[in-house]
Amino acid sequence: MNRALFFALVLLGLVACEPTTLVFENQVPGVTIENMRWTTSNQTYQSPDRLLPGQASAEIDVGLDDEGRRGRVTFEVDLNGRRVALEAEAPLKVPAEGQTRFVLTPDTPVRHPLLQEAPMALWAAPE
Amino acid sequence: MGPPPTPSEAVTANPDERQVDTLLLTLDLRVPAGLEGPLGAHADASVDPAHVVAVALEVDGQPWGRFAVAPQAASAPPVAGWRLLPEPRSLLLVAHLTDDVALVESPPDDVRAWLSVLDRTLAAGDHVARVAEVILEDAGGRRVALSFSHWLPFHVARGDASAHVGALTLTAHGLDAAEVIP
Repeated sequence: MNRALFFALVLLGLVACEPTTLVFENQVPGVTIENMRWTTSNQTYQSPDRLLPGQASAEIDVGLDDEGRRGRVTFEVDLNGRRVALEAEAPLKVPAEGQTRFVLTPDTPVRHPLLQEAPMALWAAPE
Repeated sequence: MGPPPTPSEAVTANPDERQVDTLLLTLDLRVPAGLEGPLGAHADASVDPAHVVAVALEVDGQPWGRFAVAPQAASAPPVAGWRLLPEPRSLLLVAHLTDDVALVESPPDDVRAWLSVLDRTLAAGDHVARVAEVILEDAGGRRVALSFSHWLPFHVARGDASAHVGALTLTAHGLDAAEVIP
């Protein structure tokens, strides 16, 4: 009985200590996703993976301080050697414990930070 | 979320393979003698490139974006609002296939729309370009639009990042009576 209780407590402890992780997944046909980052007010978590269509990144461990926080998701889209750095329109919240998966699809709302923040910088010639 | 990519879609191109995203074109706007109106009273002449403020380019029948032209120094006194030059003087146009102005005015708001921007490159092979419209501004600040229908074939070699479309001479018929842009 004591042994069963011990294993139950160990199992409960393992479940309770389930790490908080983040995974990026590319579901955009024909493009590669690189330099995926999740940036909170504390720090930036970056995936070193280069994702082909249908691929998911390795799990990224999220620190205790960032569990339950919202953060900006940024990434680079590469199409035939032409690329653009984008940011997901909606911030991503990573709940404590368990895996959070950010799935990028063609319909994901995004913005270009440069165009949003300093549009006049791109005016190369007067019109 | 849409369906996952099929195996045939799960292929990416070699990122080292360059594709054309810039076109080079020289443009000369001629005004023939004998036209009705004050401009026609002169001998054959070229419109001063300083009057050109924007050009709309089509490639393979698709609009390739309107691109602005850097301001140029005026070089002759205006006649009826237009500066004419006795010798041809070409204007160099550098057309980047991504229209930055359009991006600023109306940025794509999802990944699919951005892909259509990234996908605007020319594959190796034969293409044809057309200067569909030239917008000129006279000495008084009045803007007029001239439409053209001259096609200019050009070839893109594999591995090139830019292509020279060629030298285009257009006759500015009806410059006096051209449509005024409000």
